[in-house]
Amino acid sequence: MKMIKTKEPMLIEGPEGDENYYVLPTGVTLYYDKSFPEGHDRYIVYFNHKGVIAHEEVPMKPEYKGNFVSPLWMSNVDADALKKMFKRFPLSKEDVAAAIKANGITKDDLADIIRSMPD
Amino acid sequence: MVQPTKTSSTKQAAKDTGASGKTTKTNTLVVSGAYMEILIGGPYTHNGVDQPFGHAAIHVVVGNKNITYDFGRYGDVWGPFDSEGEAVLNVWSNFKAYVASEKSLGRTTTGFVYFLENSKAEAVIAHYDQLVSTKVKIKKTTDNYVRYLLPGSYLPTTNNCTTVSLEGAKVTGKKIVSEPSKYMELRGLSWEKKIASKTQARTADGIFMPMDVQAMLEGNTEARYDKKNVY
Repeated sequence: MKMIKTKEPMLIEGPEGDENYYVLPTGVTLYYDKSFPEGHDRYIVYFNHKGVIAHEEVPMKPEYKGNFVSPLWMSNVDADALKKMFKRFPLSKEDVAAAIKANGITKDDLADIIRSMPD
Repeated sequence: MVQPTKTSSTKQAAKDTGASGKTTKTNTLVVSGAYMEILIGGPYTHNGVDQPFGHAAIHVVVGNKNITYDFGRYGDVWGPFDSEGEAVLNVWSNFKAYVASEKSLGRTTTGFVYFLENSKAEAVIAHYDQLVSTKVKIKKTTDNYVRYLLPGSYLPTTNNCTTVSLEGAKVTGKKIVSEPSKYMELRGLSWEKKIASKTQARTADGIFMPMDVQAMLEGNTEARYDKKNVY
């Protein structure tokens, strides 16, 4: 199975098609599963978990013929997505400055971030 | 993309009414005519894997409407080879975005264009409007498309991208489906899937593979396409 490690965060759509986005962080290993002729690829992500998960069972109905996959959609953080996110979470210059200060980001860190951005 | 154009009667009228002995200025008004375009996404290789199956969608333009209907396994899937699933229709309001998403795969999409009277193009849209009106729910809304969960299931031979596209195209009354048995070679299917498909139900037309439809449209002499676009 081909494996890839993400070098960018990805947005994950909620299962109920809500307006929320969930983020898959950078550095996650995706295991290539298959491609569909519709044009999309499917990947598997593995999680470890210790404890109890509130859940309901997913029944294997007869019509599934022994195979059922319920994937989520994942997308790149493109300019349109960023605009939407900033609309939902409008940040002023003061907000950004406060967040930077609160998280201990130095001027040198900021310079590094800006240098790493494409022209 | 090449749009069909019509020269309005404005040009002739301007000539006819020009004052004698004076140069008459003529204005050519270019109006986009209505049309539908059956889109066949060809085979491609992605992530080192060949994708020979192909994909079909239908694009309709009339007046200020420009809509692409793209049906497929965009939700839960089940069955052998993930061959069945939720019936999901993407209704694209941005054709360029649809084409760009296909081109990003390195896939060539061929568009078979049929010029239509406005009423016929509107009838195609009404067909899909009716389908959408039965939706179970909207799964996703983006700037470029809305993703609808429809009742029933995606079925590989009777309710797939090809059959859903052809059902809309047939509303125009054009004999898009012509001698389908002549073209049913199941292009793009591996031998084991060809065998599996023999046990499946078929539509009255029988044709369900995108590349078979492409061959049929190329060979159709009863309702020849008016223009072919390659994206």
